[in-house]
Formats: sequence, C-alpha cells, structure tokens
Amino acid sequence: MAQAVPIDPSKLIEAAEELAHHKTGAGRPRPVWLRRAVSTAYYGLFHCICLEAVRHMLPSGREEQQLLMARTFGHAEIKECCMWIDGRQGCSRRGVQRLVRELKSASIVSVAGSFCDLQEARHQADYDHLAVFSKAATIAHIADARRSIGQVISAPPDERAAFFSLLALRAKLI
Amino acid sequence: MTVLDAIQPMKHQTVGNTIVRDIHVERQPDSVGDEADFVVLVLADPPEGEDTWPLEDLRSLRQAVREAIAERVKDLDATWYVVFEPEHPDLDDGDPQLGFFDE
Repeated sequence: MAQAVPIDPSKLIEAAEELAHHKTGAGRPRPVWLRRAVSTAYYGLFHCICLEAVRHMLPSGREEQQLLMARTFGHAEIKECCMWIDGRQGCSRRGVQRLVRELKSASIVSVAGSFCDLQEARHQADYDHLAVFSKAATIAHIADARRSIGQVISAPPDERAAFFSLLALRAKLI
Repeated sequence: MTVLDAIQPMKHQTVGNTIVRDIHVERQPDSVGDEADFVVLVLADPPEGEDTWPLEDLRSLRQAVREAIAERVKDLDATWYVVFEPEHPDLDDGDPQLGFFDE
C-alpha cells in the first residue's frame, strides 16, 4: 500500500524555484510557470505556519495527530491575524489585542507583511487571467517565502507562543 | 491624505541598492472581495547578473509603505498590499502572457 508523504514546506519552495528558473538566460519563463511558482511559494509558507503551530501546540502528539490538526487553519483567518500584526487592519477583538500588540514589535511582523502580500499574489496567480507576473517579482516572492519560513521556525519561543496562540484563537474548528 | 499622497515621497528614493522609479495605487477588490489599495512600486532593474532585487531592500520598502500609511493616512478606508514591478518588462520569448496553451 502506498505511503502518504506529508507536505514539506521546504520542498514546495524548491519546487517554486525550479518552476521560476526552468528557463535559463534572457527571456521570460512561460507565464504559467511563473504563476505556479508564486502559488507554490505561498503554499510553502502557509503550510509551514500551520505545521509549526501544531508542533508547538501538540509537541508530544503523534505526527498523524499533528497533521490532522494542521488542517484546522484557514487562509483567511491566518491573513486576518497577519493584518492585525502588520497594522493593515485594526484588531477590535479585545481578547487578543494584547497578543497583537506584543507581536507588532517582534520579528514576526515582517513575516506577517510577507504573508499578506504573498497570499494576494497567490490569488491573482491562480484566478486572475489578466494578471502579469515578471520573473523578478516571482523570484522575489519565493525568496520572501523562504526567508519567512526560516523566521517562523527560528523565532524566539515567546514570539512563537504568541503568534501560534493568536492563530489558534482565530482558527475555526472543522 | 490618500494612500498615494502618503507614499509619494518614496518615489525616486533609493533603499539599499534598489531605486523606486515610480509609484501608483490601484483600488480593486482583494482575494476576499473587499476593496483594497494595491501599492505598486516600480523598481529599477535588479543589479547586473541578479534575477531579482535584494530581499532586504524589498522588506525595507514594505516597511516604509507601512510606516507612511500609519503616520499620514488618518481615515484609512481600505486595507493595502504592496506589489513590486520591474521598470522594464521581461524580454519577450514569444510566449504571450495571455496564452491559454503552454505548449
């Protein structure tokens, strides 16, 4: 019986790199490859955040439990949290305002900004027929996603605790 | 003050090794259907031999946009996103952006 292979964020970033660099030298890679590269880079960051959050919250849980719980997190909810942290939207939910305030001065704030912009780019890449993607901007998205993944993993424990708690409080149970 | 007015001073600025050639703001629905301001920063081409701009420069630019909007736009009525565009389009390889068939 075939064995399931969990989604590995670092492998998604590798795939995004390959998509964006499939054509060497001058000239724009085929637009569809650039679109897939942007989308794949976003999913690398999205899955990293989800997986790191459940590993933080269920450190002793079985991998299967962690992977099931990772599906609890939604794109819109994570983006909303990131918008609060990044300051693009005010947070009116009093229960989490303190967490948001603490994160505004943390290193995770740059991850939050990157996530917001990357999610929008992903949406355009997947749905907007009229969107144009340059090679330079696509590779920048991948670099940003890669750096953000590193920052999420290596953030100080108190920042990780605050960030993942915020995401968990905002997540919808499925 | 509008978002465009707030970030206008960034035009022609150099951040690290990256020059902001032009700025415009496009108001359009975002991925959840809410009206949003897409702040488009048109950047000078990446350094010779590089495929893209230094990431530190891009993050500094995003932070500068965030700070300018926070400081100068008092009644922000929509969220915003930052988009980076190159000054010159990629060399055309004959494959149209709107092509539906990629073979």
